[in-house]
Amino acid sequence: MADAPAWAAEARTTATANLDALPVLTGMEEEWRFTPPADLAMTGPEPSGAGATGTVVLPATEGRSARLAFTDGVPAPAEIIDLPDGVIVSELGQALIDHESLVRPRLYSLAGFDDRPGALNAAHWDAGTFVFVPRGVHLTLPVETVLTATGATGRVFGRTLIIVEEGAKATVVDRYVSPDLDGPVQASSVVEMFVAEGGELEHVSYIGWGSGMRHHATIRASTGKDARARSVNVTLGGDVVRVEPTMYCHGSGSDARALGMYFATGNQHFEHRVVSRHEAPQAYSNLLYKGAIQDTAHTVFFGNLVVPPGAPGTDAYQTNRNLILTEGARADTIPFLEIETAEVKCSHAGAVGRVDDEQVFYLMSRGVPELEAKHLIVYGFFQEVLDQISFGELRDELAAAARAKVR
Amino acid sequence: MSTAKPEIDIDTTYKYGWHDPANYVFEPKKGLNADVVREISALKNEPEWMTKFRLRSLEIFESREIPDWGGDLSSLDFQDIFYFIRAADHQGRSWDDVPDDIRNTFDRLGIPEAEQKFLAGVSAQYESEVVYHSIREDLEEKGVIFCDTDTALREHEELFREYWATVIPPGDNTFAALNSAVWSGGSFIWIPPGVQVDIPLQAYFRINAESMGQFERTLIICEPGSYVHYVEGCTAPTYSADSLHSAVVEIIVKKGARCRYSTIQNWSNNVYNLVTKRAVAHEDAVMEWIDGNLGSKLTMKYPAVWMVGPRARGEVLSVAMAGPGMHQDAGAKMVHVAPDTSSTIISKSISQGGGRTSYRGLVKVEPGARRAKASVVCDALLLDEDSRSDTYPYMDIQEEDASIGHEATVSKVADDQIFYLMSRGLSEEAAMAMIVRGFIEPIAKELPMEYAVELNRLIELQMEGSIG
Repeated sequence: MADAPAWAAEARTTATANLDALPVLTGMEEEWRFTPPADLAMTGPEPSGAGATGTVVLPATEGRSARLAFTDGVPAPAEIIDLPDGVIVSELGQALIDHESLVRPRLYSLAGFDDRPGALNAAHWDAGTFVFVPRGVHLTLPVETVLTATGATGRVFGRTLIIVEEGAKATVVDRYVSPDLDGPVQASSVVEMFVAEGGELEHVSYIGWGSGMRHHATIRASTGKDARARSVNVTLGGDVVRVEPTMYCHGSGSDARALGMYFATGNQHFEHRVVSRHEAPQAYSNLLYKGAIQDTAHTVFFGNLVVPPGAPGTDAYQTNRNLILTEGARADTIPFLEIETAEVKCSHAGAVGRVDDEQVFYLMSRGVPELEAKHLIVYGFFQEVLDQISFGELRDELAAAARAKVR
Repeated sequence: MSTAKPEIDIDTTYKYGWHDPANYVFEPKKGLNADVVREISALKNEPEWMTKFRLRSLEIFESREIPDWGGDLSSLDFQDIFYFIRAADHQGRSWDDVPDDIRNTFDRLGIPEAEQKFLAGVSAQYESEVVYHSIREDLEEKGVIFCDTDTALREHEELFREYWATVIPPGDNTFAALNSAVWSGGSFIWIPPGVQVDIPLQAYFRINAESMGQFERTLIICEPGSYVHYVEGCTAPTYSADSLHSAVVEIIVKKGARCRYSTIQNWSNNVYNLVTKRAVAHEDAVMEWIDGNLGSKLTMKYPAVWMVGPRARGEVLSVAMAGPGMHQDAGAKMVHVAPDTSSTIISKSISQGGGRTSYRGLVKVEPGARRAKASVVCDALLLDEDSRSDTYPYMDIQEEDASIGHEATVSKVADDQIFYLMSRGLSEEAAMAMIVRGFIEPIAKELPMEYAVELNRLIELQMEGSIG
């Protein structure tokens, strides 16, 4: 971002100053007590990098409209495969210059740098993804970004900005992958998405890191009048991962959904903090997260439906279900509701349970081996979320990746 | 609120808002320090260990922060509170022994009348100490101990000391530390093995003075196979200066015993009600909290059950109603420590006229609590646009074969329900009241009849004038 325009350089300076000025997070704060920032390698000196221990094979570009790949935060040239006229897929640092009028009003507007994770990303990101789909254009094939870490550096940053104009339609996939690494590597990503009136966006975030990764991810979506935004987040990899999706219903009649699945095994620790904010009347939101936990892994789900005054006709749901597969695993679920409008329908549900012995027994009695029976049950459990991913190839890949973790 | 500053807040719906002229036997100065704590202990002629316990608790309190979560405590000034007021120089065993002005208060509250009809024992606390106490003779003969906590320390010191602060130590939280330093009054109950107390024991807590702090301390021990239902009610006059009620309630329910603890809290809306309540349930024991929060400016109260013995069961039924200027931050905590334990939390809350209700709860399944089962259901009704309802459920599950569920809903009273009832000839207000009554029915039906009636009446009073 060497040639960044003055306004972008200024934002970076402020973010850097905020990093010094903001109190250091200790892990004693209510918001941080389940996943101390130190475990995310967010405090202390920059990790030195573990040294490369393998390479990542990128998936084929088949079926994508464009792809951007970043290795340790460094972008490769964009692979533009099939984009309709007017659609822009560009490296974000370059877009600051090339598409200033589109980028400037929106960058940092949903995820700023007043808090420590926001300031950290804003101060350090070097490259990212910019996607723009103009009014009325339907982008049928997904745009994919792949952020990889090799262990050569101790920090990997990514940032994505997506703009879907009125009546336009797009699918964007952000993929985070690495080989198993020895030492801690810190990853930070921020996704800001804007869906204008009548537009439609599906965003899939797939966290498929190898071991050694500590990742803080922020996802923010703004939906305009009658717009639809769907954020699907799949967390399978990394040692310590914290994902914070927030869906803003900014326009009346908007439809915002945050769906997620996570599967933590070994010593993995995942926290998901999922929020929907109804800032306009007659909007619909649905938060649905399902998790499986095995070995001595620990997962935390925090959800919040926020309905400030002045959002009558709100229709909002929140569900978190957890399947504990083995003794020693732990799940926390904390589904909040904060309602200040009377004309609402809101509900939430949280549950933690185990694989039903009877179901396993039944499948075994039909000749299915025990492990395969467990695979089927876990697969069935996640199906509700996987079904929401319209890109069939990715859906199959994720289902296979999740099933491969069952012990 | 038009012309001159009124002496008291006008709150037409609060029936218990009068106060009596103050006529105290001992009334220390406002404020809190080690001398005040020593003075309270000396006035009560306490053994040295208790004085030390109080002073140690004061140190803990002073080292703690005031919680910044839950409700807004920023205008609570701990130096502007009376920590101990002695209203009578001795305790009555009959109402005739109670000073006239205080007896009048309890007459107006209807306590002596209720005692004759429904209760096995009554304790009445006025400011810091219990002024009246009685228990049915047959229970006394069976060995049931029901007295105020100060008397228990004097007369049953050994038993008292065995259990005191074992469930809620002073370091548990800021307000438990404060209570431990300045506690006074409350009930002490010991139910011998196998004794079933068939009708409820009741305590009534009344704050009369302005800027009063009431810090009662209740300790209940149910020996194996016993049963008791303890009921408490609370009111205070409506003043412009705030009062503080910060109680600690500890309960031990031993093997196969059952304890039910019902509270209908109807403090006036200038009282901060910050209470720690916790029970330990042993093998096959049952602990039930029925918790009605209808009054106070701010309540922060989360009755807890620690299920430490196999097959122990915990239950919390909670009703909260918040009107103008009120915040009810109420809920429950269930901690499953032993296998095959089960718990249920049912919370119903109603917000109206700008009031705020929050459900805040914790369900924790510790490693080893195999086959634990927990269910949490929270329903909230919002009666108008200005009110607020929050749900803050925490669930921490560390056992593979636990089965935990939580459900919550927030809704407005449906217009078509109101319309239907009005078409059958009810006024809008009556229709609304009927719907609210139906909403809390699952909890009201668990209360003794006269309390259920009282609960419904209090809710109707709060709703008066809320429509139109």
